[in-house]
Order: sequence, then structure tokens, then C-alpha cells
Amino acid sequence: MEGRISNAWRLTVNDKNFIKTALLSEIRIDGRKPFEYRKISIKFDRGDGSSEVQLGQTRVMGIVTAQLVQPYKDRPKEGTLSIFTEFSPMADPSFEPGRPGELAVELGRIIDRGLRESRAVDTESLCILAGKFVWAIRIDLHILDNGGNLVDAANIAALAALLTFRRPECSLGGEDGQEVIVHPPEIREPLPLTVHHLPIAITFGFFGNEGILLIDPTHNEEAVMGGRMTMTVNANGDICAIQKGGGEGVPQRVIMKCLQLATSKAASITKQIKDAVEAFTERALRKIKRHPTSTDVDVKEKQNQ
Amino acid sequence: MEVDREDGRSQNQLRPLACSRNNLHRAHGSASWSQGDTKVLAAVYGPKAGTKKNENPEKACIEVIWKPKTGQIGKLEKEYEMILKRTLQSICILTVNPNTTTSVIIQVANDDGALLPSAINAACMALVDAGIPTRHLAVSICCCVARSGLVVLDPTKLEEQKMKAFAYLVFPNSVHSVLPEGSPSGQGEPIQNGIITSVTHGIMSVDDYFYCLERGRAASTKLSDFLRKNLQQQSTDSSKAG
Amino acid sequence: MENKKSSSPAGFIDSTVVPGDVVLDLSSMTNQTIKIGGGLRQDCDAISVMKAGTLRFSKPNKYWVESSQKRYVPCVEDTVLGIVVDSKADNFLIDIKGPALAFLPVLAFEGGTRRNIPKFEVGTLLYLRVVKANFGMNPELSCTDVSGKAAEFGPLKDGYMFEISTGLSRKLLSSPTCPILEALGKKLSFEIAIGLNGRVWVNATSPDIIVIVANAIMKSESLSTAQQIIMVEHLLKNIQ
Repeated sequence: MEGRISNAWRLTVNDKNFIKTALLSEIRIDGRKPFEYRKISIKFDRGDGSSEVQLGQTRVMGIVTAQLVQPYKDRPKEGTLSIFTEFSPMADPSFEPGRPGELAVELGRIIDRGLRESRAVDTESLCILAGKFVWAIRIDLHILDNGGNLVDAANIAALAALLTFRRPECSLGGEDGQEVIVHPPEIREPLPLTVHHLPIAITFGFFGNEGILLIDPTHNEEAVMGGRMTMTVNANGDICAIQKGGGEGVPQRVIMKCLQLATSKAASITKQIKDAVEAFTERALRKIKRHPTSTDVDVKEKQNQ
Repeated sequence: MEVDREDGRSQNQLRPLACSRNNLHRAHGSASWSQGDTKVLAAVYGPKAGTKKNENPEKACIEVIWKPKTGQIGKLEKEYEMILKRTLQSICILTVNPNTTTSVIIQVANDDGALLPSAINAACMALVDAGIPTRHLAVSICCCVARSGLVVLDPTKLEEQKMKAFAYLVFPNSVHSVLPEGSPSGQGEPIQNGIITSVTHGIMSVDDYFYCLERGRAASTKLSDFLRKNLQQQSTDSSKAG
Repeated sequence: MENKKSSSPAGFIDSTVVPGDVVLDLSSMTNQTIKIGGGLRQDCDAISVMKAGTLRFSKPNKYWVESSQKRYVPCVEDTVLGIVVDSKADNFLIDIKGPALAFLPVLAFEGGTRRNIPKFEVGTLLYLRVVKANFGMNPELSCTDVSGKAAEFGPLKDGYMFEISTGLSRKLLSSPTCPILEALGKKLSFEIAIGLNGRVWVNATSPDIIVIVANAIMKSESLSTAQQIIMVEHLLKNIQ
């Protein structure tokens, strides 16, 4: 009985009040201004479509994998893209193992709508043999550390992983030309996915009647704020998804303002993702050419941090 | 003694090790561990009040959650959870915090062989980071028996697949002690000689198994030194901060 | 096995110890009365380590392992910051970041009687003293000093509370005043309460001072003394 209350994470009354009162003078507890985004770091561990994104204290790992499957009957010429999210109990003391909670489902849906339903990834080029073989792309988003605003961080992780993912090249062969030959990466250079545009999710928080608005909330701010809205926009200025699930009502002029902020923020995040991917791809290419002969191995120490 | 390893290692050579602790903000303890291209992240929450159903409330309970890189958790991962749980139970002093639960969450970032031993090493360092009281540390290593009968340490995924058999072994760390060498600590045999966990796959001769134990134990000393150095690193860091 | 031998515990003092290390052998000591603190345990004549950290010794006979964690192990006479989680007829239940909730008896206040039991809403922040920390029991707290006076204990109003490691809170409380508080205190005026359980409460007349102080302390977690001073100077420059 005692377990549940004693293990729950909670904010003090002091912190709840402080977050609100400080915001009245445009001050946030981490020293940011209301419309300041936290620092983003994008890392690629290995070449195979895996990314690790840090947004302030929030950390998300994105993994992209692919499998040859039979396409859906109604779309015989299209590959598929599916997104799997789970709030790992690693990330937050209140995340429990087992069925994904409401927030995990919502996060998955927002990213799905922004990414898949806006047709950011070209699924037709994933078709190998109509009606028989298409690539099914799977994105696993692992939330490792919850410092707030998981949606935006997970979305960046998904995009970064997609952009570095390479699938093996395939060709048709056999007597009837119906046999699929999958070429190993040593023989034919694996292919990247065709990504038309990058839908960037930008989340806002609303605080009560004072009409306070902020961007990129931390987990402390999320615990206090009255409503949230995620706008997924791309560099072309399209709206790919807007999610505001209830909460406090927001006047239209605030929505307009959010959209402006989201569009300019999305442009800089798009650039950051592209730069990170480019730097990584260059490094990866150089590595392949060099053919690392042998790794020097003995018990070696990498320093803490 | 010639052995042909793809990456040019000698048979007793481990891949480069890297470990960093306290890399997660919310978790009470965390560690990231890599051996070559195998990388595992471990987080610890606890001790939290109360024990799960069917656990002894007079002792601390350890719970292990395994998160694969992609896809659902299967039978293999369930077994990994169980082995990890029992291994950690044996190194933790469960009487210090009765009626509490400590959760250990393992996230696989990449599997290039010796996955379970890497996870055990990661979990152990995360427990240390969280300050969970332990009798000693656990160091884990994978020993492989090749078709030729040679034993190699810390195989990559490719090597694991080619091997006749392999053993995941867990030993206590080698400790520094004021006690005279070889003196019994506790009951009879010095604890350093005990094997905490042994999981084997495939078929091997008795001699091969004992040879694995010997090689594994030798490697465990190296691993222990690595852990000690890593822990020293942190305490000098924090004493600087004063 | 290559067990490095050192015949006296002196070799271990002020150096890093790792779980399993045996730091003292009582059978070889002339005076067998010693006090062992956190991180050490006794197994027959051997005193061994159960938490990684630095072995400390204070005269005449006290040994403990100093380490830094995000969670707190209650210890009698520690001052802590607790959050009210629930109130029962006899006790308030308080979260002090330990393995179990702590009890604050409703009468453990200066001049406390059944008639003047204070009311605390859930989430109230209190400055408290640990009075009992027995094995297998919930720790007990008090809102008075040893002589029964309220002293500084009791609810902390307004301000902002944040969490740090137990190691850092120890350093902030150590004397002489740690450089970071000294540097901040020279330029800014603020109130601060530090709990040994790794919680800090800061209050000031304006929220930006609170934010500066809180961030300076949180950032100092991984910095050396010299780096801390540079960081604080940098932060202070930005406000003028």
C-alpha cells in the first residue's frame, strides 16, 4: 500500500507556484526565455539507422529496421512504415513496464501522423515486386530519460534514424523474373530511403488564465501546465499535424503565434538534423574506403564523460 | 595457439571496453557499457518501498526488465532477465533494505556478441552508481570453444555463430584485502574462486569447460581492474568538485 | 589471484574502495573497538566494503565510505528537506528520498499538543531533523532541535526546491563555506536551506536570483573548484 505513494514522483507546492510566478516575469527555472528551445544533440552510434537524441535532459534512441514482407492487399505497390514507441521504465520512475500508457500511445500517434500520414517517406520506392515483396520499415523509439517534451525529441530521433538507414539493394532474378535477390552490403552499396520532407514536431505549453505560453516544456513544467499543443511543420511551411488534446482553450491569435514560432524553429532543427546526418555519412563513407585492418584491442579505458 | 579472428585479436584478447556512469538524469543510478560494438545501457531505480507479490518482504527484492533493441521480448530475453535477476541477487546484500524493490532496466543499444555478459557488467555498474549495497561486484565474460577446440574470449556476434559452444560466466571481482593471501573469508574457499553464474550453449568436453573457467577467471581479473579504475576516476572527479 | 596486500588499513584511507575490498582485519588489531559507518559491513573479523567510494577515517576509531548518490540513506541527526505525502492521525508521512517514507509525529513540534496540530497540504516542503533511523523501520523525523525548540525547522514557504546528489549537499554544508556559495553570496542576497538528503531550497526577492542560484548549484555538480568559480562569475556577469 505504502509503495505506491512513497514511490510516486511529486513536485512541491513551492515548485508549482514558483514555476508559474516566475513565468509571469518571463523566467523559466532552467534559465531559458519562454520561446527558447533547449540544446539538441544528435548522435549516431552505428551506421545501421540508429540515432540517439538529447534534448536538454531528455534522451531518446531511435532504431530503424526493415524486413521484406507481403504488401497489404489494397496497396500492392507500397511498402509500409510503422512506428513503435514505449515509455521504458528506464526513463522515469512513474513509467511502468507492460502496456503502453496513454501518453505513449499519444506520442506514437503524433509522430505517426506527422511522419507517415504526411507521406514524408516514399513508400512506393519500397516495392520490390508488386503484390509479393515490399519493404516494411519499422521505427522503434526508446525513451531513455524523461526530461520533458518527449514528442519533439522522439520525432527528431525518428527522422535522424530514417535518414541514416540503408536497406540492402534488391533485384529480380530467376527463370520467371519473380525471384528476389537481396544483395549483401559488401557487394552492392545499400540504398537510403527516399525522404521527401522532414516534419518537425514543436510542442508548446499553456498556463492558465494568464495567457502564458512557452515552447519545449521540461518535465517539471509539464507537471504544472494546463494544456499542451504540438505542431508538426516542415521547412516548406506545410502543417503536417497539429495536436491539442483538450486542456485549456487557446485563442486563435495564440495559435497563429505558435505557428510562426514553430515554423522558424522547425527550419533551424531541420538544418541541424541535416548537418548531423551529413557529417555522419561522410565519416561512414571514409571508414568504408579505408577498410580498417584491425582494431587495436586491449583493456582500454574511456574516461567518464 | 594460432587462431584466426576476423578482427585480428589474439584468443585471450578482449575488445576495447568503455564504461560511463550517471548518464541518465531521472534514474537513481545508470551506466553505459560497451565491449567493441556491443553496447548496453542500464538504469536502476530504488530501493523503492514495498516488494512485489510472491517476494519475501523480509528481504530486498530485485526486479529486472530487459528491453531489446527492436521488437518484442521473447523467451531468450525472458531467460536473460531471470539470469540477471539471480546474478544480481547473489551480489546484493538483500538484508540491508528489507521490504524494498530495486528495479534494474537493461536497454540493448547494439548486439555484436557477448550480449548477456555486457548487460551483467552494465547492471553491476549501475547498481554501484545507485549506491545499492553489494557484497562484491560481478564481472562477466563470454568464453567460446571453437570447432578446433581452441578457446577464445569475448566473441563478436559472427564468432558466436561459428563456435561449437560457448559459456557466459560471472565471477566476483578481484578485491584488495588486508587479510593474508589465500586466507578463507567466510566459509572455506576464498570468494574469488566462486563462480556466480554459468550459462552454456552448445556441446563441449569437460576439459574444454574447465579451460573456459580458467580463461574466464584470468579475464575477470582484467575486468576487475578496469572497473576499479573506472570507479577511481569518478571519486577523483567528485573530490575535485569540493 | 592477485590480491594486493596491505597489512594496515592506512593504505586504504582516503583512497577509492570497491565493494568486496576488506579494509580492516579485527583479529590483527590491538584495539578491537571501532565504529563503522555507511558503506562498510562486518563479516566475522573482516570489515569489508559494500559501496564504492572513498574510505574515510576520523580519530579515534571511526571508519566509513564516503560516496555520492541520488538517493538518501537516513542517519540520525542529519538535517533534511522532506515533502509531505500524506497525513495520518499520529504522523505525517514524509518523502525524504530514502527507501521508505519517514514519519513525522504530529506532536514533534515546539510546544506541540493534540490541540495545535499543524495542517500541511500534500506537497508542503519541510526542513527537518532525523531522530530515529532504525533497521527495518520507517525513519522518524522532528521539527525541533535537540532541546525541543523550533529553531529553523518547519515549513519552508515560497522559493524553489531542487534535487542534487548527496555528495554535493554534503559539500555545500561543509565548513569553511564552499566556494560556490561564497561567490554567490558576495553578489546576491538569498535564503538557502540544504538537506543532507540531496535537496536544496532557495528563496529570494526576485525569481531571477532564485534561478541563478539554483542553476549555479546544479551545474557545479560535475565541476572542479576552479571551474565552479569561473562558472559563477560568468553567470553573475550576465545579470548586470
